[in-house]
Amino acid sequence: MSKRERDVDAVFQALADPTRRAVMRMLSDGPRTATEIAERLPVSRQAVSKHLVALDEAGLVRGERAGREVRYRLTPRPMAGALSWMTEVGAEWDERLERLRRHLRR
Amino acid sequence: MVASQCTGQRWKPQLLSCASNPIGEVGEVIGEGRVTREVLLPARRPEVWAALTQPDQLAEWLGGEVQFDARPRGRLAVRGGAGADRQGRVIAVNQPYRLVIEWWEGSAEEPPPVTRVEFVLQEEGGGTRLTVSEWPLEQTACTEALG
Repeated sequence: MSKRERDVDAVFQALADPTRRAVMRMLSDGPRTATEIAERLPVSRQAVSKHLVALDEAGLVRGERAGREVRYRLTPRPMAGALSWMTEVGAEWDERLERLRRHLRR
Repeated sequence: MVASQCTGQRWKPQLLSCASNPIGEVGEVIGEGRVTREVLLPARRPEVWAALTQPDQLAEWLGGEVQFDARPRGRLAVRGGAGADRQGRVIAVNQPYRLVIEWWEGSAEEPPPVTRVEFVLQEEGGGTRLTVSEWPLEQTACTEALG
């Protein structure tokens, strides 16, 4: 796998989880700490922290120390790579299926 | 564009629901992780099945030189077409209804497989509706691992 594919794969893995998608939604309103996120989701603070680590590894959030806590903010740029992968794969299938249709029409 | 083409299991938004949140929407599309295309083909299902499984017919629409053994664990090799060379193998075969393969770019025999492709064939009005989905393979395993 190329670096790009690994990066894209990390984003897919990170966003495959509904709780992590909910965390992303919440952070799109502004930076929050793990405690603040946990208050608004039906999961524990420890679980939120684990999900934040997964999102951080995919490059989707970044933590900044704020006093005794870490405040996380969204860094959504890697999502573009995943979307462009989906667009490219879709375009490839559009072309292949058009050739298949013509092949079967003969 | 991609979003409207995606089908399959959707996340039920019981945690947070905010339809006008673009990050949330893009997250849903990527989280779905599946690229899906549907096409109504002018041929009976056995003919479409043959076009998906016989190497000489695959070469016609995949391009290049194709070797394919459409049996469980059978190998796929695509070389010299318009796109990248590919290797793959059969995961599931249920003639003439459903075929699942995994494939990856390059010529290596056993790299980490990158994506899985599912073909589903349904009879429709004298023709065949073919649904193709492609998705990154590691997704499910990772979700299970991280809970």
